[in-house]
Amino acid sequence: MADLGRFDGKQYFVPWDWGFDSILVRTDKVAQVPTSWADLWNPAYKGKLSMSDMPDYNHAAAALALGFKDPWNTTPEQNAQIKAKMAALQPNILAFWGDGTELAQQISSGDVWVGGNAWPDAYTLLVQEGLPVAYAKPKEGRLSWVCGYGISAKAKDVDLAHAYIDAMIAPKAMAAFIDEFGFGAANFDALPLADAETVARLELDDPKVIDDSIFYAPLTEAQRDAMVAAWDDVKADQ
Amino acid sequence: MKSARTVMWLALPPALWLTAFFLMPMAGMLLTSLQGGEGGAGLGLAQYRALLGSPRYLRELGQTSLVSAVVAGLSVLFAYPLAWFLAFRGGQRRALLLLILMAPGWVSYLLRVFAWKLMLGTGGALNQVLLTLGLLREPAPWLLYSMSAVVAVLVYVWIPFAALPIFAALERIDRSLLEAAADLGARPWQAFRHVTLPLSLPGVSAAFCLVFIPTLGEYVTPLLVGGPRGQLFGNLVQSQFQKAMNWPLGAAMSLMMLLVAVPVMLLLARLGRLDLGEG
Repeated sequence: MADLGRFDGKQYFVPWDWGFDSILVRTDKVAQVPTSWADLWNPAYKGKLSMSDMPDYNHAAAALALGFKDPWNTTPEQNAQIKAKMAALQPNILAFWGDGTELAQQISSGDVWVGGNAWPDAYTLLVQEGLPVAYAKPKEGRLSWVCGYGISAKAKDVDLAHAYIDAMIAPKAMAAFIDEFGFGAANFDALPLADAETVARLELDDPKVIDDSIFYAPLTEAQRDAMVAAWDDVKADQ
Repeated sequence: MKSARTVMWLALPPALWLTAFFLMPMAGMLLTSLQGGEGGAGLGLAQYRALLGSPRYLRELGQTSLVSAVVAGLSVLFAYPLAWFLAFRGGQRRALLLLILMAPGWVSYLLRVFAWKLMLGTGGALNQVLLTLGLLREPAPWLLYSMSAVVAVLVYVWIPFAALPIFAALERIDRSLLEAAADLGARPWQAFRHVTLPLSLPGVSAAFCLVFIPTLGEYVTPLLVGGPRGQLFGNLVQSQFQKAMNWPLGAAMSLMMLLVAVPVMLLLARLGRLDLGEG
């Protein structure tokens, strides 16, 4: 994870929180928990799916469903296939979600059965509410991401910035963060202090869940523009 | 001389404010939209060429203009009777009624949109009513997360605001004109058709503008209740700014929206004034 904060051999940011994108389902509405990203295209989910409106999320889901190993290194031909795949998903999509709580609301109201690229916070929230939900482990791997802190080169008080970051990654603070939001903490010292049930549910103490996942990678501007254009095209054709 | 100077001093604060917070940002946006010329360097019309070269943007803009016109039209249609009632039948309690009309504005916009989600959702009030009445066999998911949901929410939000200019226009009508119409044998609806309605048109066109223009740039409501089939041009602009981080294209798109808004505004302003002249 720390590698993602490194550019040209220099460490630029310290990881803070991490989590997945995976498929979140209401087990009382959906007979089988999906086993592959391709399951999102299941016609049984027609009008019952909520996806994030982020172009790169949808790009990655389509790429993995098509069996491309690395969603962040795709050829133009593969991109054309991905776009067609994203278009084919549209009939299933009922709504978009902007953050975990919005997705949780959509699922708990019963409007949405499947959260397409859900974060662990929505899963945790729904479990805490007592709803029957499952968080899939697609065979292609869950997508995972990490956020962190960096210090601007123009920072006036670097010591203060360090103190702030130290406080943010302190085990106690990160344990509270796990309990409150249901995301992973980049500081593993926090795990013994956090709610054991949440840790076990998300397998936060098992490094294997991270190793089995596919991390978001930095994108070039051209890549990002192409992903946005493809996703906007797909949506506009509705 | 003195009065001219007074006017100048009075006009100075708003003029400064508009320069700082309207004209300068607009100029900045224009400048941004000209960036990323040929080869990514210098200024040029590359963004505009990209916009005009892609039927997608023009189609979306056309559709959004249509939706805005529908929202503005419906808001005015629903607001007019309200405004009429306030102006002609409100009597002493007019101020109180006006306050009640504006009361929903006290609740956060987000909460009101969520209330609509509860009403329109598959387990929502409207679906339950339709199911109970036997009009539906199973809950209709398209009530929420669709363009019709976007229109419904926006019309609901704008009705009170559309009522205000219409109310103001109706208030200004000289009641003796209506008495004269009655004296000359006009039935109430004839008096309305030939006296009240034409005299209130400036308010109607102002109300239409007041709804049409902000709706054109709307992106929050589609984000919350639109779903994939209820997105507006504003969402495309937002995605350029926030997701693609392509500010020049986003700025060019925003300025394209002005090209729709300004002519509509000028047309409506002219319509309003012409009818005032005739009346």
